[in-house]
Amino acid sequence: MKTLKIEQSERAPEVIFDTEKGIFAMKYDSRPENVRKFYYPIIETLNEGLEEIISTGKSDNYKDNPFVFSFKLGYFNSSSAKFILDIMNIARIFYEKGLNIIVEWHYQDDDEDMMEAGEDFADFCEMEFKFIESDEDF
Amino acid sequence: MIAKKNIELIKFNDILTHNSLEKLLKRVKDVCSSEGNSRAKSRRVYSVAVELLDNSYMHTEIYRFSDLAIDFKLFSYNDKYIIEVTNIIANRNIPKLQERLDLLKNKSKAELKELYKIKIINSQISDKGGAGIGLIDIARKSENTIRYNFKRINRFKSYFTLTIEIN
Repeated sequence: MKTLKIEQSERAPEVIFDTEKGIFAMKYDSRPENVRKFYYPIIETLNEGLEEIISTGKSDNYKDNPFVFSFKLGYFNSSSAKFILDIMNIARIFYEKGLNIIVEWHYQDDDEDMMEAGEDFADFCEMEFKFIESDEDF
Repeated sequence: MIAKKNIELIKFNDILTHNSLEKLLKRVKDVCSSEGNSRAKSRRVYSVAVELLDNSYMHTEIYRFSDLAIDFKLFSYNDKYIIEVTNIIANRNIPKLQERLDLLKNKSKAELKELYKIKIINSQISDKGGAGIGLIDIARKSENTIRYNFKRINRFKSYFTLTIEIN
Protein backbone atom coordinates (compact mmCIF):
# COMPACT_ATOMS: atom_id res chain seq x y z
CA MET A 1 0.00 0.00 0.00
CA LYS A 2 1.32 3.45 -0.91
CA THR A 3 0.10 6.72 0.51
CA LEU A 4 1.19 10.31 0.17
CA LYS A 5 -0.22 13.45 1.70
CA ILE A 6 1.12 16.94 1.07
CA GLU A 7 -0.63 19.82 2.79
CA GLN A 8 -1.53 22.91 0.79
CA SER A 9 1.02 25.73 1.16
CA GLU A 10 1.28 29.31 -0.06
CA ARG A 11 2.55 28.24 -3.47
CA ALA A 12 1.93 24.51 -3.67
CA PRO A 13 -1.22 22.41 -3.94
CA GLU A 14 -2.60 19.78 -1.62
CA VAL A 15 -1.73 16.33 -2.95
CA ILE A 16 -3.26 13.05 -1.79
CA PHE A 17 -2.39 9.59 -3.07
CA ASP A 18 -3.79 6.43 -1.54
CA THR A 19 -3.70 3.13 -3.38
CA GLU A 20 -6.02 1.48 -0.84
CA LYS A 21 -8.73 4.10 -1.45
CA GLY A 22 -7.91 4.32 -5.16
CA ILE A 23 -7.34 8.04 -5.31
CA PHE A 24 -4.79 10.55 -6.55
CA ALA A 25 -5.98 14.11 -5.93
CA MET A 26 -4.53 17.58 -6.48
CA LYS A 27 -6.28 20.66 -5.17
CA TYR A 28 -5.77 24.48 -5.09
CA ASP A 29 -2.99 26.52 -6.74
CA SER A 30 0.29 25.19 -8.08
CA ARG A 31 3.33 27.42 -8.49
CA PRO A 32 5.98 25.77 -6.29
CA GLU A 33 9.24 27.64 -5.74
CA ASN A 34 11.21 24.64 -6.96
CA VAL A 35 8.92 22.83 -9.31
CA ARG A 36 11.16 19.79 -9.88
CA LYS A 37 11.79 19.28 -6.17
CA PHE A 38 8.03 19.38 -5.56
CA TYR A 39 6.85 17.13 -8.40
CA TYR A 40 9.62 14.52 -8.78
CA PRO A 41 8.87 12.67 -5.50
CA ILE A 42 5.13 12.74 -6.27
CA ILE A 43 5.71 11.22 -9.71
CA GLU A 44 8.06 8.60 -8.26
CA THR A 45 5.61 7.55 -5.52
CA LEU A 46 2.75 7.51 -8.00
CA ASN A 47 4.65 5.24 -10.40
CA GLU A 48 5.69 2.88 -7.60
CA GLY A 49 2.19 2.71 -6.12
CA LEU A 50 0.45 2.00 -9.42
CA GLU A 51 3.13 -0.51 -10.43
CA GLU A 52 2.55 -2.31 -7.12
CA ILE A 53 -1.17 -2.62 -7.89
CA ILE A 54 -0.40 -4.17 -11.27
CA SER A 55 2.42 -6.47 -10.07
CA THR A 56 0.41 -7.81 -7.12
CA GLY A 57 -2.59 -8.52 -9.33
CA LYS A 58 -4.82 -6.07 -7.46
CA SER A 59 -6.03 -4.19 -10.53
CA ASP A 60 -9.26 -6.25 -10.45
CA ASN A 61 -10.18 -4.41 -7.22
CA TYR A 62 -10.83 -1.31 -9.37
CA LYS A 63 -13.00 -2.97 -12.02
CA ASP A 64 -16.27 -1.69 -10.54
CA ASN A 65 -14.93 1.37 -8.69
CA PRO A 66 -12.22 2.96 -10.82
CA PHE A 67 -9.01 4.45 -9.48
CA VAL A 68 -9.73 8.21 -9.55
CA PHE A 69 -7.30 10.93 -10.58
CA SER A 70 -8.98 14.12 -9.37
CA PHE A 71 -7.79 17.60 -10.33
CA LYS A 72 -9.34 20.63 -8.59
CA LEU A 73 -6.91 23.36 -9.53
CA GLY A 74 -7.55 27.05 -9.01
CA TYR A 75 -4.42 28.12 -10.81
CA PHE A 76 -1.26 26.43 -12.11
CA ASN A 77 1.77 28.07 -13.65
CA SER A 78 3.37 27.01 -16.90
CA SER A 79 6.13 24.98 -15.21
CA SER A 80 3.57 23.05 -13.15
CA ALA A 81 1.61 22.34 -16.34
CA LYS A 82 4.49 20.24 -17.63
CA PHE A 83 4.43 18.05 -14.49
CA ILE A 84 0.64 17.86 -14.35
CA LEU A 85 0.78 16.50 -17.89
CA ASP A 86 3.43 13.97 -16.77
CA ILE A 87 1.03 12.79 -14.04
CA MET A 88 -1.77 12.44 -16.58
CA ASN A 89 0.53 10.47 -18.86
CA ILE A 90 1.18 8.09 -15.97
CA ALA A 91 -2.60 7.69 -15.62
CA ARG A 92 -2.85 6.82 -19.32
CA ILE A 93 0.09 4.38 -19.22
CA PHE A 94 -1.41 2.44 -16.29
CA TYR A 95 -4.86 2.57 -17.87
CA GLU A 96 -3.32 0.93 -20.92
CA LYS A 97 -1.71 -1.66 -18.63
CA GLY A 98 -5.20 -2.67 -17.51
CA LEU A 99 -5.88 -0.57 -14.42
CA ASN A 100 -9.35 0.97 -14.52
CA ILE A 101 -8.51 4.70 -14.13
CA ILE A 102 -10.75 7.70 -14.54
CA VAL A 103 -9.43 11.28 -14.71
CA GLU A 104 -11.79 13.87 -13.25
CA TRP A 105 -11.13 17.49 -14.18
CA HIS A 106 -13.05 19.88 -11.93
CA TYR A 107 -13.59 23.52 -12.83
CA GLN A 108 -15.52 26.29 -11.19
CA ASP A 109 -18.80 27.26 -12.79
CA ASP A 110 -17.71 30.56 -14.41
CA ASP A 111 -14.15 29.53 -15.25
CA GLU A 112 -14.30 28.44 -18.88
CA ASP A 113 -10.49 28.88 -19.17
CA MET A 114 -9.92 26.14 -16.59
CA MET A 115 -12.32 23.87 -18.44
CA GLU A 116 -10.41 24.52 -21.68
CA ALA A 117 -7.12 23.83 -19.89
CA GLY A 118 -8.53 20.41 -18.95
CA GLU A 119 -9.60 19.79 -22.54
CA ASP A 120 -6.04 20.63 -23.66
CA PHE A 121 -4.56 18.18 -21.17
CA ALA A 122 -6.97 15.45 -22.30
CA ASP A 123 -5.95 16.16 -25.89
CA PHE A 124 -2.20 16.21 -25.09
CA CYS A 125 -2.20 12.94 -23.13
CA GLU A 126 -4.74 11.30 -25.45
CA MET A 127 -7.15 10.19 -22.76
CA GLU A 128 -10.85 10.79 -22.11
CA PHE A 129 -11.51 12.93 -19.01
CA LYS A 130 -14.66 13.39 -17.00
CA PHE A 131 -15.37 17.13 -16.73
CA ILE A 132 -17.13 18.27 -13.57
CA GLU A 133 -18.52 21.77 -13.03
CA SER A 134 -18.24 22.71 -9.38
CA ASP A 135 -19.43 25.45 -7.03
CA GLU A 136 -16.75 24.47 -4.53
CA ASP A 137 -14.01 27.06 -3.91
CA PHE A 138 -10.53 25.82 -4.82
CA MET B 1 -16.87 62.85 -26.46
CA ILE B 2 -14.97 61.80 -23.36
CA ALA B 3 -11.46 60.55 -24.09
CA LYS B 4 -10.81 57.02 -22.93
CA LYS B 5 -7.94 56.65 -20.55
CA ASN B 6 -6.14 54.04 -18.54
CA ILE B 7 -6.98 53.82 -14.86
CA GLU B 8 -3.97 52.82 -12.84
CA LEU B 9 -4.97 50.08 -10.37
CA ILE B 10 -1.57 48.94 -9.12
CA LYS B 11 1.88 50.44 -9.38
CA PHE B 12 4.94 48.73 -7.97
CA ASN B 13 8.47 49.97 -8.41
CA ASP B 14 10.86 48.20 -6.12
CA ILE B 15 13.20 45.26 -5.76
CA LEU B 16 11.33 42.02 -6.18
CA THR B 17 11.83 39.79 -3.16
CA HIS B 18 9.94 36.67 -2.19
CA ASN B 19 7.74 38.71 0.17
CA SER B 20 7.10 41.63 -2.17
CA LEU B 21 6.30 39.22 -5.00
CA GLU B 22 3.68 37.38 -2.92
CA LYS B 23 2.17 40.65 -1.66
CA LEU B 24 1.98 42.07 -5.16
CA LEU B 25 0.30 38.95 -6.55
CA LYS B 26 -2.21 39.00 -3.71
CA ARG B 27 -3.03 42.64 -4.59
CA VAL B 28 -3.55 41.65 -8.24
CA LYS B 29 -5.90 38.85 -7.15
CA ASP B 30 -7.83 41.12 -4.76
CA VAL B 31 -8.17 44.02 -7.22
CA CYS B 32 -9.44 41.81 -10.03
CA SER B 33 -11.93 39.91 -7.90
CA SER B 34 -13.27 43.13 -6.34
CA GLU B 35 -14.09 44.56 -9.76
CA GLY B 36 -16.93 42.12 -10.42
CA ASN B 37 -15.16 40.20 -13.17
CA SER B 38 -15.91 36.61 -14.04
CA ARG B 39 -13.67 34.09 -12.32
CA ALA B 40 -12.08 33.27 -15.67
CA LYS B 41 -11.16 36.89 -16.37
CA SER B 42 -9.76 37.48 -12.87
CA ARG B 43 -7.71 34.30 -13.14
CA ARG B 44 -6.48 35.29 -16.62
CA VAL B 45 -5.08 38.57 -15.24
CA TYR B 46 -3.61 36.76 -12.23
CA SER B 47 -2.04 34.06 -14.45
CA VAL B 48 -0.35 36.61 -16.69
CA ALA B 49 0.91 38.54 -13.63
CA VAL B 50 2.32 35.35 -12.06
CA GLU B 51 4.14 34.31 -15.22
CA LEU B 52 5.61 37.78 -15.72
CA LEU B 53 6.61 38.38 -12.11
CA ASP B 54 7.95 34.89 -11.41
CA ASN B 55 9.99 35.27 -14.57
CA SER B 56 11.30 38.69 -13.53
CA TYR B 57 12.08 37.37 -10.04
CA MET B 58 14.01 34.46 -11.49
CA HIS B 59 15.96 36.64 -13.92
CA THR B 60 16.86 39.40 -11.53
CA GLU B 61 18.46 36.70 -9.38
CA ILE B 62 20.36 35.32 -12.32
CA TYR B 63 21.75 38.60 -13.60
CA ARG B 64 22.76 40.00 -10.19
CA PHE B 65 22.79 43.59 -11.33
CA SER B 66 23.14 46.32 -8.76
CA ASP B 67 19.75 47.67 -9.82
CA LEU B 68 17.26 44.86 -9.48
CA ALA B 69 14.10 46.92 -9.23
CA ILE B 70 11.21 46.13 -11.52
CA ASP B 71 8.38 48.35 -12.59
CA PHE B 72 4.97 46.70 -12.60
CA LYS B 73 1.72 48.43 -13.50
CA LEU B 74 -1.81 47.16 -13.78
CA PHE B 75 -4.31 49.38 -15.59
CA SER B 76 -7.92 49.00 -16.49
CA TYR B 77 -9.09 50.35 -19.82
CA ASN B 78 -12.81 49.98 -20.46
CA ASP B 79 -13.40 46.25 -20.06
CA LYS B 80 -9.76 45.35 -20.56
CA TYR B 81 -6.79 45.08 -18.23
CA ILE B 82 -3.30 46.10 -19.22
CA ILE B 83 -0.19 44.80 -17.48
CA GLU B 84 3.11 46.52 -18.11
CA VAL B 85 6.34 45.17 -16.65
CA THR B 86 9.80 46.62 -17.08
CA ASN B 87 12.98 45.02 -15.85
CA ILE B 88 16.63 45.08 -16.73
CA ILE B 89 18.17 42.42 -18.90
CA ALA B 90 21.66 41.75 -20.19
CA ASN B 91 22.15 42.86 -23.78
CA ARG B 92 23.69 39.50 -24.65
CA ASN B 93 20.32 37.85 -23.90
CA ILE B 94 18.23 40.16 -26.10
CA PRO B 95 18.55 38.28 -29.44
CA LYS B 96 17.33 34.98 -27.95
CA LEU B 97 14.45 36.64 -26.12
CA GLN B 98 13.47 38.66 -29.18
CA GLU B 99 13.48 35.50 -31.26
CA ARG B 100 11.12 33.78 -28.78
CA LEU B 101 8.78 36.80 -28.78
CA ASP B 102 8.79 37.12 -32.57
CA LEU B 103 7.93 33.44 -32.92
CA LEU B 104 4.57 34.21 -31.31
CA LYS B 105 3.76 37.17 -33.57
CA ASN B 106 0.62 36.81 -35.70
CA LYS B 107 0.01 33.28 -34.45
CA SER B 108 -3.65 32.24 -34.36
CA LYS B 109 -5.28 30.61 -31.33
CA ALA B 110 -4.91 27.16 -32.93
CA GLU B 111 -1.25 27.78 -33.84
CA LEU B 112 -0.48 28.90 -30.29
CA LYS B 113 -2.13 25.76 -28.92
CA GLU B 114 -0.01 23.61 -31.24
CA LEU B 115 3.16 25.47 -30.21
CA TYR B 116 2.20 25.06 -26.53
CA LYS B 117 1.63 21.33 -27.10
CA ILE B 118 5.04 20.85 -28.73
CA LYS B 119 6.78 22.77 -25.91
CA ILE B 120 4.97 21.11 -23.02
CA ILE B 121 5.64 17.63 -24.39
CA ASN B 122 9.26 18.14 -25.37
CA SER B 123 10.76 20.73 -23.02
CA GLN B 124 12.95 20.20 -19.98
CA ILE B 125 12.40 22.15 -16.79
CA SER B 126 15.12 23.59 -14.59
CA ASP B 127 14.85 23.74 -10.78
CA LYS B 128 13.16 27.14 -11.02
CA GLY B 129 10.91 26.27 -13.90
CA GLY B 130 11.40 28.12 -17.13
CA ALA B 131 10.57 25.58 -19.78
CA GLY B 132 9.88 28.32 -22.32
CA ILE B 133 6.16 27.68 -21.97
CA GLY B 134 5.44 30.86 -20.00
CA LEU B 135 5.46 33.29 -22.92
CA ILE B 136 3.26 31.01 -25.03
CA ASP B 137 0.88 30.71 -22.09
CA ILE B 138 0.74 34.50 -21.78
CA ALA B 139 0.10 34.82 -25.53
CA ARG B 140 -2.78 32.32 -25.27
CA LYS B 141 -4.36 34.02 -22.26
CA SER B 142 -4.06 37.49 -23.76
CA GLU B 143 -5.21 36.49 -27.25
CA ASN B 144 -1.74 37.32 -28.47
CA THR B 145 -1.62 41.01 -27.50
CA ILE B 146 2.01 40.94 -26.34
CA ARG B 147 3.98 44.08 -27.15
CA TYR B 148 7.60 44.55 -26.18
CA ASN B 149 10.32 47.15 -26.18
CA PHE B 150 14.04 47.23 -25.42
CA LYS B 151 15.65 50.49 -24.31
CA ARG B 152 19.40 50.48 -24.13
CA ILE B 153 20.99 51.66 -20.86
CA ASN B 154 24.61 50.99 -21.78
CA ARG B 155 26.57 48.41 -23.72
CA PHE B 156 25.89 45.74 -21.07
CA LYS B 157 22.24 46.11 -20.18
CA SER B 158 18.85 47.41 -21.33
CA TYR B 159 15.36 48.01 -20.03
CA PHE B 160 12.94 45.39 -21.28
CA THR B 161 9.23 46.25 -21.23
CA LEU B 162 6.39 43.83 -21.89
CA THR B 163 2.85 45.12 -22.31
CA ILE B 164 -0.04 42.68 -22.29
CA GLU B 165 -3.77 43.30 -22.77
CA ILE B 166 -6.29 40.96 -21.20
CA ASN B 167 -9.94 40.88 -22.20
